[in-house]
Amino acid sequence: MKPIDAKYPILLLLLLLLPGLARAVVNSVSVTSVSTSRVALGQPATAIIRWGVSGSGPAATGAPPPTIVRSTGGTFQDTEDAPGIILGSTPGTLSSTVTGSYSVSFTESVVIPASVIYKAYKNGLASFVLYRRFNDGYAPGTYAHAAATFRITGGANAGFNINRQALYFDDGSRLRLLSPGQPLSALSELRYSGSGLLRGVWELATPETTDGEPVYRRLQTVRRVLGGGGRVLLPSPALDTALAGRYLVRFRIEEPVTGFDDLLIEYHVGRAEPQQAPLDLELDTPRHGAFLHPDTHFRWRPVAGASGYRLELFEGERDAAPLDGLMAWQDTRQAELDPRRLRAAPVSGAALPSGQTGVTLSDLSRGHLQPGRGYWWRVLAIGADGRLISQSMARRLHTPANRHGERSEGG
Amino acid sequence: MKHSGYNSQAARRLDGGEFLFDWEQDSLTARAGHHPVSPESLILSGFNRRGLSATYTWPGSGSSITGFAMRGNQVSGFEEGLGLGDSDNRIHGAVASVRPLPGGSEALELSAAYLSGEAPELGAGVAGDDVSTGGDAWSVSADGLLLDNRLRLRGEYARSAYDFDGAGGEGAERDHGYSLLASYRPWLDKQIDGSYIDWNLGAEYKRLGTFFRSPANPGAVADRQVERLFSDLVWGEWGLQAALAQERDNVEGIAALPRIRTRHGGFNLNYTPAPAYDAQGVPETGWLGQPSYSLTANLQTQRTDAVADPDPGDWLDTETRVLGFNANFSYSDWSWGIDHTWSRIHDDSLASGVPTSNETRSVSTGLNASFTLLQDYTVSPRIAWDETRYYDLGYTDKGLLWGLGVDAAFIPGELSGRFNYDESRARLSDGSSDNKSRHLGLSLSWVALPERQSRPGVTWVLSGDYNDYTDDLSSANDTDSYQLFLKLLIGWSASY
Repeated sequence: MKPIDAKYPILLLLLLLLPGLARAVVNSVSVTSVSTSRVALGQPATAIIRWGVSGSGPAATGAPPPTIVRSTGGTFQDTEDAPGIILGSTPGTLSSTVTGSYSVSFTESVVIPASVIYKAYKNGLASFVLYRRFNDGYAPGTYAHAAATFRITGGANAGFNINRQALYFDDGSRLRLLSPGQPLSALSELRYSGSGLLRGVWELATPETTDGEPVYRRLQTVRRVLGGGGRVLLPSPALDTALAGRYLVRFRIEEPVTGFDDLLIEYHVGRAEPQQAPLDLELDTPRHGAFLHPDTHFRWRPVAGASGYRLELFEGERDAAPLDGLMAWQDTRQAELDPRRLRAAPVSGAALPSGQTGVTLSDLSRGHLQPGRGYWWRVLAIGADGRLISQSMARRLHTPANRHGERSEGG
Repeated sequence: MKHSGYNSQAARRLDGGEFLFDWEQDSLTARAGHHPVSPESLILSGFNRRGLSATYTWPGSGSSITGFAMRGNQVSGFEEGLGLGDSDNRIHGAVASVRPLPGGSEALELSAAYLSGEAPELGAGVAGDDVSTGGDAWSVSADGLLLDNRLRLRGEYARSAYDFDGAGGEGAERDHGYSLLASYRPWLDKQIDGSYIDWNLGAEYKRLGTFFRSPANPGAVADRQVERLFSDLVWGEWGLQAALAQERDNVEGIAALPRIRTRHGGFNLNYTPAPAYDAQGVPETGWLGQPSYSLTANLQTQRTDAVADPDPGDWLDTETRVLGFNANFSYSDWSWGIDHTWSRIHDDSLASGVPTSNETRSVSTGLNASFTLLQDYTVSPRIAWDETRYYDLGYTDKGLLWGLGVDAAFIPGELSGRFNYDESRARLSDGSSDNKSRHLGLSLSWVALPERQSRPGVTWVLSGDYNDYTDDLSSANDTDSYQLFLKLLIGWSASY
């Protein structure tokens, strides 16, 4: 019998021991920073979490091969160790390629759904954690973990967060088709928790770029102090409608970091419609939001080529109550109106010859108006051929609460 | 992970806008498409969706009843049809309004509403929580006018049952809310120094429970008790609006949550002088043209009224001051405007007994103008700068934005052009960030064939842009790009 070559068992032993000799692990995981540790009951929250992961590389001779350190998802639970209640999960994978001993950090933006926070509260928890475990390719079966802690609080005391953003045009729509020169603005409605400085930018991509890769121009920078948790309405500057084509508008929130991508809405400007009169008739008095009195004088600028004018009054709704937390003057839904949005027929008005650019409503005209109501009024300029050659924006007008403008003993 | 599925409208090549079909016969009205459901209430606010509704109005009484089924979230274009195919994304209900006094007088209006459904907070133009949740809600309200319609009283009570965790194991959470509003106009035709004075003052009390929520009012802020006084005064060319309010959260007194008291007060003063007119009725303007001015001030304080049992070391104590000024001046061929805002946050809060760092001072100023030259050329320059000082962090964030736009009708009705240039710079005073971006856009349109009733029109458009981003700290982040397009537009308006 031939003796067994001693080197083979030794090699076999080395092969068996090699994984052990080359073994490396994720040594430690820590939460380096969390942007906000207080989350509001009943509202979603976004937190920026930085994880620090360190590990020792394999103790092998020569350069160790690269490997990947990763975490394939996080779990919302009651405690880090021996969790009893699983509240939800976040599927985001964090990974990085490392070589040898390493120390890496991962930054992630985590959306904590309102349902997770609510479930924690219903289970009697004052706080909960986002748990993550990491491993690397050197020792794939060995994990290290850490957890970021979040405390449940009220909306006013939570970390500064934008919970919800709604973007729409001044008529409430999300997609508009317009004529050139038609006035347009947008509104960004934000629901937030906590307090802080909101930094954002109104941006617009114009037809020069929207046919290809949209490029956004900065229209206006917004710096706004928000406090106490609530709702805010941010108006855009007047949007460009001079050039035909497709436009994209967005309000990009720079701070605080949100859990959603930049929101955008679009509008399209077509060709000028010959039958549409331009909105360039300028009104003077009464001012927007004024009250109608027996001697209120409506006045506007003369229009070249006008053979007559028509003053029209339209019924409006009751004034909308300002949104929660807004002061009335901050609610820009109450601004002057594009008259093309007035669908109903006028309820009163007056027809005037070309030389007359002002009028006081007669008792008969005022008699068609209900007391204590809001109305819109506008002026049209009529050309010699009877066609509309110019029109004004619509302004708000209120009628006093007495009937038919009778004088009272008030005051 | 961020949500990004709601801007898909930007990717479709052919799409529709929002649509609405109206049908009316006698007292019955039906609608299909994008439309709001009114009136507004604690459970229904800003609810403009795609769907179906039908309204019956009793002739001569002003009373009506509306039934509706609307998509829960926003949608636009051709997708989703009428928007009612998904039961997890649909809200249905009814609203009734009755005017019980003779002749349908507006002196008293009673309303009731009920709705039920689910909706995620994602959709066209909306982003928020992507978990689809929902529930039921109902409300009743009374709105009356007294004393010759000078006094308005309104009261509303609402209840909701909302499932906050969607498909999770928890059931619906029940809660309620109510509001009371009174507003009064003391004078009707009073004049001071020949100018009418119109004054409306009022008070409001509103309480929404911690878990009060309606799927048709997703933006509402729950867990809030609000007491508010307001005043709106107009006297000739002057206007003054003012308000004082106090809010408290944690209205249920939950021991695990703190109670925060917020107080805010503010005013807006505006002045728009009426012009003098010449014999031809043309306004006479001085060196200020047609001016208008506005001054705004706000003060807000927040204090902890009661600490949370688990966090006795957390204490909120902040004060925010805001002062703003705005002026606009318009002339026959040009206009200009200026605005300036200053704000300051003082923060003496504690987190686990440790002072927090949140003190800032922010200043922003903007200047804009528009000039019409030779009737066919418009030049619009603008510049804005802002600065935020973070006292506790020790640096200042500065930004500058300026731009110039030129619109030209070289041959009116035939050849027109546009040029715009924008430049912005942002930097931090500690040197950790400094970048600049520039954008140049050009467009030239030539109407090769004017549109007629008997034939379409043809327009050529040459447009392009150049963009440049420079990072002064790391040139690896620098980018630049340009695009150039030649477009042929064919247009034909049909009229009959």
